[in-house]
Amino acid sequence: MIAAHHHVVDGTRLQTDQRLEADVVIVGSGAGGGVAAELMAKSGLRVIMLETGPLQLGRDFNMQEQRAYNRLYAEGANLATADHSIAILRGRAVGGGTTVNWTTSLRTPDQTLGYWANRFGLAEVSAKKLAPWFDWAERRFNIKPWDVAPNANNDVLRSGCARLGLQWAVIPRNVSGCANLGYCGMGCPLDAKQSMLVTTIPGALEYGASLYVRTRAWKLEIRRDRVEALIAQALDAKSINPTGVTLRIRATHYLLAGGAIHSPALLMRSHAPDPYRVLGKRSFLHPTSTSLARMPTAVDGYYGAPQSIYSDHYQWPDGAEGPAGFKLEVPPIHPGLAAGVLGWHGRKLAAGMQDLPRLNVLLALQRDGFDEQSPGGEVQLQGDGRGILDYPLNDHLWDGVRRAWHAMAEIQFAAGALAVMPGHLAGEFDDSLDGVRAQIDRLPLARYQAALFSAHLMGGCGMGANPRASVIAASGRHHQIENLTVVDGSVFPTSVGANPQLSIFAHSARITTGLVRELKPGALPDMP
Amino acid sequence: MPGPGLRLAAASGRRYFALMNRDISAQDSREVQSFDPQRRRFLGGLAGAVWLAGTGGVVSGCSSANVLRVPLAAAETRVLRMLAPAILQGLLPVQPAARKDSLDELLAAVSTSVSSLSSASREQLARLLAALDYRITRWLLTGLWKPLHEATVAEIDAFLHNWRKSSVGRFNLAYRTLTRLLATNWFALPANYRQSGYPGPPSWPAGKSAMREA
Repeated sequence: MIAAHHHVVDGTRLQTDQRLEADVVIVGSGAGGGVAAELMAKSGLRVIMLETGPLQLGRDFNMQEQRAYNRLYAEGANLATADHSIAILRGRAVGGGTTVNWTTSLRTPDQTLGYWANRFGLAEVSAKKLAPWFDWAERRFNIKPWDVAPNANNDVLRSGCARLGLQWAVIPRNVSGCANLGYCGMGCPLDAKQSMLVTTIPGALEYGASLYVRTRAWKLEIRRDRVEALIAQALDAKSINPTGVTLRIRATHYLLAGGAIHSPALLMRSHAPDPYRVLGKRSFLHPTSTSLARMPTAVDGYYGAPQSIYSDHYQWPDGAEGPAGFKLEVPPIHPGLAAGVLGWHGRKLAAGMQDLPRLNVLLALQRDGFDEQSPGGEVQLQGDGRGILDYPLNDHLWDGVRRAWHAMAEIQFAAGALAVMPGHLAGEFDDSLDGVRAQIDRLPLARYQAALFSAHLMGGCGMGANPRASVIAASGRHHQIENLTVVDGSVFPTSVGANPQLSIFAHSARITTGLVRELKPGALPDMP
Repeated sequence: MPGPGLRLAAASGRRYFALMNRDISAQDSREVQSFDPQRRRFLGGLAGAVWLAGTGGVVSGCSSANVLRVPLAAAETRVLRMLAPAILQGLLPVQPAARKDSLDELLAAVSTSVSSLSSASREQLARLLAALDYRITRWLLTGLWKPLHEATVAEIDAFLHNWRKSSVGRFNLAYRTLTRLLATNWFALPANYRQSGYPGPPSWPAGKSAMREA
């Protein structure tokens, strides 16, 4: 637990400009930054962590949606891509996404790693070479397949797949002493979720690291091939606007873990060398479509582990390339979020919400970035200098959405649904599979009409052997800047094809350990 | 100020009327093909108005710097308060005092949400709300010349319905933005849990033992 004797500074309270020094400064305290901070601090390096969001602890988490969204999510959970066509849930507090995610902890699929090896020259991160890092992360964060029965919402996916003979599996979760409450997305009130907030961050602080919260890394001062300092802004109580106080931090090495929008954006603002114009490109987000079902009995999708079952039946239809594959999962169904997902108003909204206890929702997370037709999006800088993700929608994506609606409706009816509706502004509940199929084939595939979401931001600082097609090397080191390393989800050269937290843990541990051993030979003897 | 804004709005409305008609007729949706001329004009005007709103400043009536300092400006609150009874039909209390309290609580929650937005998102929302507040753009967007507070729930419901069914993306986006802002905040309020049959978060530690027994 983060304790009183730990060095935690709230940027909002800083009155004067600061000049700080450290061996390593880490931007971001999520899955990537958290893991890196503990390993660095443990090996005796002086570490400063910067986090844009506030410090919120388990006792602050009261299972109220509005409070959680406003305090723990970027833009109060109203973040979206540049044209607002894809809504993005992105954690923004100490612990980053790990504080608010649904605990799903899946390894990077072998097919993904195989594709990376072939396409990006990343033989160093083959399934075999990564296995010890996954093993390490699974031990560190107590990741095990959920051995409690799935809640009824997840059971719709399980039983539907089972009846149709489709593949399904139990999701491993990073929890310890979980009471199956169902409020992971609002911050775990029991500290049962093994997020960075209760594991690596207190670990790093105990080893003497410093944590600056409500502090935004704004610019790297880069001279030739080295970063000389990092300039950060202290932020107001909402973690939005700068207070005017700045921090200038000099370090031997700089680690970026601000996530797939902010790591590329920080490099762009800093005019980092980008000779082949690859920075911020190939950004991915598992574009996610939904299908809603009215079940005959109570689902109570607000209670119980939010995600415990997944299906990869449609994930690799033609191998890695070709038409988009998708992973099937479910979201927790709390009333605020559900009202947004329904996308209705008036009497229809009131009537639809009355059925909330019997509502099941399936998600199809599209695996983007594996085909020529799926180039992903691009991080851009807005007028105020902050990053935004421009993610154009194309026919390849829409084809995947349409197929996913068909697949989800079939599974929901197989599980006993009374009626199913695709997540689309013109969608209507229909009580027959044929009816829903006809509706799906008719619905215009257009932005804003089809409901699209993302909770997984990846890429933009992609790894690769070839500097002409990647931002960092397999070692995590920037191709052009020698004392800069990236350890977050932005390093993935495609989307992961699974919820990314365990992939980020493993890559951050691998990259950080390599770097620490370079800085301090013989350090971290217990690591793989 | 309305002078130059009016002229610009009218001109852009005419220009975009022609442009949007081309766009619409290019799509082979049955809904679009069934548009009557009046509705086509309506939508064409809508596109012009939103484009105008997108240029910023002209319709907002106050500078963006001001907009960004306040969670919700008085005019914005007024617009949202007028939309709420249509978006939340059958959900607001009927008794006037209770209804006012309920709306106050909702608007406070919306205001908190809005204060979490980045300046860019905040400005986009401000433009949309200003466009609904300002007569000429409201007319172009919704077909309503009269102020929103004189419009009936049925009239507001009708333009929301048009936005939802429109094949012009900007109206779908406006629909999603406003309905989501009000509906999400409404159903997330503990006072309204019962309207969705949501029993609320489990009490702790009672919740734990109940879950373990189950």
